[in-house]
Amino acid sequence: MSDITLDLARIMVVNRARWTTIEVAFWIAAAAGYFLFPAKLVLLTQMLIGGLFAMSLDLLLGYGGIASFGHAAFFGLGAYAAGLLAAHGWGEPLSGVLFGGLAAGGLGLAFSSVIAKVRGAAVLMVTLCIGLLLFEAASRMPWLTGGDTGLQGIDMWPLLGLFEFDLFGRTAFWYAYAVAFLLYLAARRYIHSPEGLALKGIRENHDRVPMLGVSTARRKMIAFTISATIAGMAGALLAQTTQIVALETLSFERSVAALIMLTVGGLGTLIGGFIGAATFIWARDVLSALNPVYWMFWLGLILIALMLTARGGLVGALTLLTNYLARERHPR
Amino acid sequence: MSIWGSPVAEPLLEIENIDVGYGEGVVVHDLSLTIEVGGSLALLGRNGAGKSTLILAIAGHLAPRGGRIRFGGQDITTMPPHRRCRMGIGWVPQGREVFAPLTVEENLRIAAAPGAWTLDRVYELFPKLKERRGNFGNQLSGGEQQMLAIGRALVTNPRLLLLDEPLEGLAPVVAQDVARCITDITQSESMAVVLIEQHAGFALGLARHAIILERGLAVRSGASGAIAADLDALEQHVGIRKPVRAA
Repeated sequence: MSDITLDLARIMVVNRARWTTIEVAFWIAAAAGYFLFPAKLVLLTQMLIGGLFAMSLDLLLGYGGIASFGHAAFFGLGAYAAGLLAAHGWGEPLSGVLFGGLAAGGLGLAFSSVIAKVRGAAVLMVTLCIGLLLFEAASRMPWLTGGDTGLQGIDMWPLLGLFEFDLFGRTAFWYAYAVAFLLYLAARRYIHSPEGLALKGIRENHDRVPMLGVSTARRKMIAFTISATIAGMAGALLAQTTQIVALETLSFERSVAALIMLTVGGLGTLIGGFIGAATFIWARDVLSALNPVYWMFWLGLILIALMLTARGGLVGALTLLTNYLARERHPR
Repeated sequence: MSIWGSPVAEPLLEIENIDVGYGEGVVVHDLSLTIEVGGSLALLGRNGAGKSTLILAIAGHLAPRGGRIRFGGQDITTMPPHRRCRMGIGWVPQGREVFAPLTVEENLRIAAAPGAWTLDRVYELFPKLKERRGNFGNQLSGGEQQMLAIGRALVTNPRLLLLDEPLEGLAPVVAQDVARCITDITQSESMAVVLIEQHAGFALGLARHAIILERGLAVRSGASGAIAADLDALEQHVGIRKPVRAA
């Protein structure tokens, strides 16, 4: 067991800021998915969007140790912002994603000072409340949000003025892929900057970070705002690619789903969110086809088994595997 | 207020009658001291005498109950710790407190602020750290962790360095190595130092001035030479600690 930990550590020592095999493999596999499963493009697009959302939560939870139980607030706000913009006559996709990100980031910034002040269970409560507040607000304003029937009439203009959003979801897939990949690169940069390193320091030893001249409150506020912005952009992508926004985008279930995706994939790895989302959405697709009512039961069972066996999530398990294969090929 | 130091020297840190403590209890009573720019001070005393408590108050992790602390002429009594660090107070805490999930290099990069002390210069001072730059904080020996803790304080480019038992728990050979580096840093720089050390001999050899604390009170202060010669006071207030074996 300790050998395993050492191996894990060694890999991460060597390949800290460099790309790991898993990261490269994921982005290649995601692109290959387009050609391998042309009938499943809608599902693949949802995996990318779900992954982006889970990654935004990873910045908070995996790196900063800040658990959010209401992250769907930012996802849903981004979705409604982008949806409303398009429904009211501005269907340009890229500016719509930015608008969704700005709206969610603005809300994140507004709440970030509260988040920076509280710790532990209080963080859970505050984030949970942000989620509940937004959900209630949206359901009480059907004139704006469409209420239970959802926001409709989203009319997207062609991407870059060239690519129509087609019925098969081809444009939607590559659009989501590109946005998710760019935001992944940005998040990676952030994590390896002194700014992101300080976030890890906060998770590890909150009280000892200020001695290095770093304000913990400021770092947490920045992290929360960045995370909310990315979550909002993920929501905007969903609104634009599905051309409907349901109340469900703001729901507690969506917040929890992101937490599950992240834990399954592997906390504090960035790519874990994407791998977890792909697994979760694929499992939901398969299990709900087997039994549409009780699929959550099987999911719960699988999750418990996963938690007991693979604590580093799928990324942890895959890292061990690739390391093992590399050693087989080049024996020392 | 200062009973030592030449009158022309510019004061860097001025502590006036501070009381510091935890919860209800007061640990340091009515303590005053001054350190001039580039000066050095050893804090001596038994466990629980209030040495670390005083350092915590200077670094900003404990708020004094009364009194004032000035740094570079500015009142910092209520200033939060991260701003004190940016003003030039670097702290090497007891027990090192290296960040385990970060590599050596990352531990340094978090702290780095523009100035004379760069990562490269720290690697020059501690070549061991350069070898281990990719290791995580918990994959280091005690001595390496201590070097990292010192290096991490140095790259914040402090004007005042607080060292809390930097030789604690190190094997004698390693302790000598670290002690030599500390001596180098403090003697070649215009950096002021406050040093807590159980090895009274090392502390008195390094710092120009010393204070002996007992139960939170400064019972003796003066030039290190004078205190080193006063074996009775050392024995009474510090306990018999043989000076660190001759290097």
